[in-house]
Amino acid sequence: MAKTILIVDDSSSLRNVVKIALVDAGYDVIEGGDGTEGIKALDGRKVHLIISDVNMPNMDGITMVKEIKTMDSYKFTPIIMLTTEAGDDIKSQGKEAGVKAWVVKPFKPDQMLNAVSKLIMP
Amino acid sequence: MKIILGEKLYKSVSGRVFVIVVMVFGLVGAAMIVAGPMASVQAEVLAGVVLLLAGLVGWGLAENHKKEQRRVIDELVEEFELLLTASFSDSSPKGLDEACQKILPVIDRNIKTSRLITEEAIITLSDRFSGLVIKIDEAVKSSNNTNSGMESSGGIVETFNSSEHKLNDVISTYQEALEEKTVLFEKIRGLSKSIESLQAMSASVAKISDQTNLLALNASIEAARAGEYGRGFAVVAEEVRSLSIQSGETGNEMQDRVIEIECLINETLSMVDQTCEKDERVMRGSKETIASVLGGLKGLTNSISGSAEKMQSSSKEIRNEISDILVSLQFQDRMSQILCSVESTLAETCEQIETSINNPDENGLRRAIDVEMLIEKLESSYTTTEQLMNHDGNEAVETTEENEIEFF
Repeated sequence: MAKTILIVDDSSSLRNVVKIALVDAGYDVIEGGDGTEGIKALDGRKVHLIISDVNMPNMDGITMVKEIKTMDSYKFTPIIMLTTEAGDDIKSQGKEAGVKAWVVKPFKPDQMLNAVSKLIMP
Repeated sequence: MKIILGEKLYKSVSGRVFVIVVMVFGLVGAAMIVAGPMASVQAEVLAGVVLLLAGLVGWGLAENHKKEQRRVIDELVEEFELLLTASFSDSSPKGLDEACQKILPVIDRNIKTSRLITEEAIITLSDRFSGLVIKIDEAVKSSNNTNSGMESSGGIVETFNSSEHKLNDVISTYQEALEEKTVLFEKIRGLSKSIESLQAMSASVAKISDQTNLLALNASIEAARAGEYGRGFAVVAEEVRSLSIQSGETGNEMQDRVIEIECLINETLSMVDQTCEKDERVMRGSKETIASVLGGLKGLTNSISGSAEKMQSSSKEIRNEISDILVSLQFQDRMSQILCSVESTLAETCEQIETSINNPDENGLRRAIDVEMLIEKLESSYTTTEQLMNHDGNEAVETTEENEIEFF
């Protein structure tokens, strides 16, 4: 059975790029346009990995990660941040919140798939 | 401007000196009267009057001087303000305030509009490209099914192979039937040889009949020569001759029948030969026709199969190209963030200029724009390395290098 990955980004074009790469590699994908939508998209279902942007309206990525880490069903779900942010401060915030990997845009699909295969839950 | 202010100050100071001189003259006059030849009471009264007059004149002059001073200070303040305004205007391009106040918001709005248009266009493009990728995937999947259908049970290739096999079976069966027919014909040919034997046998029968007839005749002659004693033998000899004649006739009849049969068999063999030749011709023709039809069908099948493979390969290439385009469209996200930062800084700057112009301080002077704060806010809004490079004065070039993934 295909593993499910949640993509959270306010840019639908970027969600499309990630989605196509992941679907090609055989993953199922669900989406959210910001942190709030991302949490809503989890909806109690089994999610094996989350890929999220940092700067988003309504709820930013770091806040969303903090929220998710308080949820019993998802506190061990690995999270990759995919963002234009490359500053050490924001990376530290992500690391403290429980992020497992940090990818700076622009990214190459192969590179992302490599990170996904390393981190995805069995 | 300095000369005008100096003159006013000089006038102000010289007015005060004039009051002091009047007061000094009054005191000197009073002293001289007291020290003069007049009676002391009269002299004191006169001196008092002189002092009083000097005081009145001095007070009047002092009041005038105060008023003059007040007027001069007012003029000075006015001049100073003019001086400040003039000095500010001298260091900035003329109309800079108005330009900033009116042009910056327009630039801000235009940047926002451009950003929104680009975002919308890129999102539309991205959605369409993604739609194309999905459609190509569906087409390739469908083509895969057709192709595997071609090769699997019920597919074109399999149907072709099965048809070829069945037709070859038909040809083989027909060939076998023809071979069996040839065996039959060989047996008929064998019959022809048997007929020859029958002919020889019937000829032998005729010959034996002739010889028997001759023997019977000789026996009749010898019986006649024996007279009465040979009468019985003459009867036997006659019977034998009669039998020999009958057997001779039978032999002849047999020979006639054998000849008839031989003719029929020969005719049959001739027809068999013709049939065989015709069968072989039909067989060869059928084989050639079937091979030709199958060859054509095979070419068509291979062509269809090849086209399908080529189409699949091209579709995959197009799909990969579109995927690469989608990857390239990531620039929109970074560009959007850079423009948002510019917009926010422009809006903040406009607000500061508006406040500076429209809300002066308690002295009626324009408030200073907090440039440091604006730059600090701008810097804190950066998300990309390009922005940091631009801020430091280095021209940022879009990087095509892969960013390293950082694992925590």
